[in-house]
Amino acid sequence: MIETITMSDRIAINASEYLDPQRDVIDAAVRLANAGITHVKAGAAVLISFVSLRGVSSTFFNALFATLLNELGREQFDVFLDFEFGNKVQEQVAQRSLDTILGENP
Amino acid sequence: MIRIEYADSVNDTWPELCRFIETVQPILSLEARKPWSLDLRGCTYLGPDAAALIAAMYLRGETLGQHPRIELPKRPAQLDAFCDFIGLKHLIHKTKLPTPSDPKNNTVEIHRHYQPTHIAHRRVAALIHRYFDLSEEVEESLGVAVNEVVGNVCYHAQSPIGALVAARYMVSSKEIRVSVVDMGLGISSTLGVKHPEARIPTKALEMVFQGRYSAGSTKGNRGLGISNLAGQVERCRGSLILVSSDAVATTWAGASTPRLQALQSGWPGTAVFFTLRVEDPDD
Repeated sequence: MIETITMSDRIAINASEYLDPQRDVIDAAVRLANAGITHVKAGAAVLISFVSLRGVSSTFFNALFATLLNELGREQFDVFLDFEFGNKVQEQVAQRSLDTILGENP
Repeated sequence: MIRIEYADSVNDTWPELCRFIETVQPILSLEARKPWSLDLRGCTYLGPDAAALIAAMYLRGETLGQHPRIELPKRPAQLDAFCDFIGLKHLIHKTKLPTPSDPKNNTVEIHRHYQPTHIAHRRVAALIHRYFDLSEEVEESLGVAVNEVVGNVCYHAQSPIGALVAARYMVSSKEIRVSVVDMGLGISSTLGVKHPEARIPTKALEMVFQGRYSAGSTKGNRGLGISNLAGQVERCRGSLILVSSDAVATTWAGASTPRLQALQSGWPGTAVFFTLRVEDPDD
């Protein structure tokens, strides 16, 4: 059961709840993206947290950002979505994926 | 019946790994159902890289119905114990696996992955945690490095033996050595479908180290995996050997670009060997 925590001004989604060692990380990324998209389309701001994850590869971030950007577009992505990272290495890996995806969707 | 005897050390350096791969080429190029044997009883040292290569050869031989026969070294005692701990005896002689928590066991036994996962690094992290309080960021680097390589194998290589992962922690140097070996298509073949210039194996390796050249076969594939791996190796002051088909790339902390070399007799798949220093580089 995936839970969302309602904060005062935005909805927080814990990315680790979408990852299952028995399932493809791309499926997990798409399901996570779809959860975020649903909330954004309902008018909510969303925080996606990766704090409790370790060692997620670029494949996951690529699929996540590509799905979010394809569905929401750059403006909604920038305005309604925020991301929280557990450490700077994780943030760098995610940023590199985001830069690559943004390069495909200028 | 092909019989090969190998009576030398195979440490985790490219010259020794290269010599081993060259020597076993007659086995690697054998057709299905052609039996072979490999006698390693004269070996004086094997590291996790060699262990992963040997395991891959054995599993491929079984898959191809070659009835592979491997004699593992029994002396010195430390090498005999290593073959036990790393899982070679279990794989080849069907012995019971030793307990991972044995105080003398500084290895992660050979493990097969067929599915991309975000936790392929956890056994390796657990091993290090027995000796050293791994920082969050070094664990992240380790996880990214292992999971990027395992993901590449599972998504692209079509390896009949999956991705084999083995590791050994070097207590004195606070260094983890990780080996990921497959018997799949090789980077040149997979990347060459979309990028014809990558059909030259050294060019393919140059491209994956540069990053953003992808086979484009999955929704998450953007060609960042190997360059992310190299970034973590650089960050953790390690070294990296990547052999794929008939090319090898080697790099180490401080190297501006990988050293590329064409091989006459390479590996039928991809083998990635990397080391990371486990002390946080920012401390």
